[in-house]
Amino acid sequence: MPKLNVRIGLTAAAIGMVCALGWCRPVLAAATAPPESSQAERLFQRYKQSVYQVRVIDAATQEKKSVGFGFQFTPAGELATNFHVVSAAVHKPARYRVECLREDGTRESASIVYFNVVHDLAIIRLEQPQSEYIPLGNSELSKGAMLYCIGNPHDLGTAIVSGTFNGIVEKTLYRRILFSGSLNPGMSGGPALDSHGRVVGINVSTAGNEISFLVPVERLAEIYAELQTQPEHAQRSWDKLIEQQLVDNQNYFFQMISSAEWKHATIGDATVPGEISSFFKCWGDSQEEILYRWSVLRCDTDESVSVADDFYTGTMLYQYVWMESTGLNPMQFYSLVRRTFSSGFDDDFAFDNIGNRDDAQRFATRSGIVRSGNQKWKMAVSTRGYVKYAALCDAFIAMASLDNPRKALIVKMQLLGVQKKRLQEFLRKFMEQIQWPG
Amino acid sequence: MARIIIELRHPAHLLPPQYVAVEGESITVGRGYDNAVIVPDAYVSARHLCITLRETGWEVQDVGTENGTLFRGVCFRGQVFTAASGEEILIGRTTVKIHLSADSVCPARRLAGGSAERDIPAPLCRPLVLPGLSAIAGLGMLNRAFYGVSEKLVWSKVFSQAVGLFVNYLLAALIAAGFWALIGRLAVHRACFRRHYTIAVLSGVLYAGVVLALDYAEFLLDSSLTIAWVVATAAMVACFLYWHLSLSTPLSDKRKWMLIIGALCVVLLSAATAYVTFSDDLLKMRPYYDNSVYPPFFPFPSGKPLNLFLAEITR
Repeated sequence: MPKLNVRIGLTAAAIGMVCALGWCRPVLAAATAPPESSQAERLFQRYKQSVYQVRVIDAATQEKKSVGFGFQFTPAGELATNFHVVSAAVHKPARYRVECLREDGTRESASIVYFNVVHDLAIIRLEQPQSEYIPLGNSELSKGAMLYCIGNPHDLGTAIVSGTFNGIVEKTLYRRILFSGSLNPGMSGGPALDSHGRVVGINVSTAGNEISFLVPVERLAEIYAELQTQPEHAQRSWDKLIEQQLVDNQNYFFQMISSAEWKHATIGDATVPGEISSFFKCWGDSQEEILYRWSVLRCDTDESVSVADDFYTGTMLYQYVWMESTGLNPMQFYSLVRRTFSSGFDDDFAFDNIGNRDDAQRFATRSGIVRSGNQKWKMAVSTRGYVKYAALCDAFIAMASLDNPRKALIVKMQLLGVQKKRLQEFLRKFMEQIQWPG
Repeated sequence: MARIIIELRHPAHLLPPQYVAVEGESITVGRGYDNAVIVPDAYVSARHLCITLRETGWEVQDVGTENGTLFRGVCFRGQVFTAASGEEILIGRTTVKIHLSADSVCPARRLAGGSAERDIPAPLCRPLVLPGLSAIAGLGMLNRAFYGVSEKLVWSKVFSQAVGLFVNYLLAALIAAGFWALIGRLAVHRACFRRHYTIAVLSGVLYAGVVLALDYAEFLLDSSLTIAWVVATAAMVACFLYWHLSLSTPLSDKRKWMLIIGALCVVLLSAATAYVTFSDDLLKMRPYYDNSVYPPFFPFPSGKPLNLFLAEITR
């Protein structure tokens, strides 16, 4: 999902694209009823002193690298924003600093106090805090409740956008509020207010066409409570904190998977793990070729954790391809299986979740013939460790059944940000669940 | 008065032979300027040989030199021996042959055909060998094209694919043969195109066989035989290079092997350099794995139990 901070160079292109899609046309339906608009007007007047544009400033050019939004939620001058807005300053504090721009144009510097990379939230502190702040509410509203999001879309100026609360998104590992209203790049980290003027959620991402997502405000409250128990930043490293949060996230992820009853799916003659947890979605397709038929089943999660601009992790995906020969001789069939087995890594998976090569170690691959149940598999497991977060690695797995010269099952998997120990446990359980009589 | 022709050959055959014609019954050979035939070789004495025409042949006298004279494997120093026309006499590092102007020259055909020691084995020169080898290569290509089929079998398609592969292969062999023939033309004034071509085709067929065998061996042993690959490839390259070099250059065995080892070292060194330069990027951004899934001509290896394999990953 596109994140909502504007990056240098991307802004113009993004606006261009928006116009190309016809979004620049006057939207007639936007004419809202007078009481609503006056509500938005009142809220904006009330809180315009408490909201800031959050900018990450490049030390060499003194210009902004990216912008997002933030709001003050404590009298002590603590601002909430998204982690992805300030991630550059977290990773490279020597090169980037954080600056906040008030509605009236005054600039203030701020420092990062705490964050949670998994929930995509960060708390920054103003050096000269004002006393106005926005109180936190809760996200237990009924569907259809009006919400007002404040932000600075495409760096065009502070704006307030109204829309409706549409509950918590189902089939996700982490709760996200579905907001039906348009959020745009530059609004990341801005507050979503209910009609009483309390914060309900924090703007985080959009899927376009008025499908937008908010982080529930409870997450912010949790993180703020956590901050009170933590030592000052000077005494620990951000990398360690990120690693700890990623490992916790992974533990939670696998705990959810192992506690859930695994649903099974059928592909060809085989019974395989299907939607193994509520946050997996599976898609299937099949085709009849002249001399063979194949079907494919692909399951993945929408979850991903953005650690930096060019580094995301925490996703998982597995795909089955069933092949059955109807007229190929065994050698032709194995030749086909081999092509599918070996092309898989390149075709189906992206390895670009780590854009900066220095963040990843080399791939280490083990391949061999493996006995599991009544089947023999050719199996290849490639892992690459993270450089800064040594406990975790990305794993890419491919396997092909060998025994039957007319039928084959090819499985490919991608697990980003796992511990090897977890990977091992998961693979063992996964392989046990593949049932294929004969 | 007889006309004596002395043929001088540089030890490494790096220069074409030099012929000196002298009138007279008796001549002297040496490094000094007062000789009839002057030999520019540091290992030859100022006066080295004295050659006289007798009815039995050439009477050759080594005039008591420091390094002596080698004839028919025997070293003469201050002695006299009798040599026939065209026999090799080694003084210092230079080979000397004595001819009479009345001697017949070697037929041009034999010269162009090369000497027996530099030729390829006779069975390979039989007329059907080259087409036979080509046919084997073609069948291999056809086989490969056939097993790659996963759609409805259309023979014309399979054939055209096989022909494509085959033409590429023959073209590669042609280029190799042309290259070696050119070297031969320059180095020994003889271009054995057909022989080089036979060798190139043969090496392709043999190497394809080795590749297939190693592929299967890797799969059946369930491990990557990197060292075996390198050794087999290097050995084959060395053998065929030796053959090509023998045909197209006058180099001694020692020099040929030095050249081959040098070439292999250069290849290895550049491969190592490429690995160091590019592998970091390649290996970081793409995982590589052994992708062989071979058909059951043989029973599949029994494989490892899952738990054991998984334990290896975490190590």
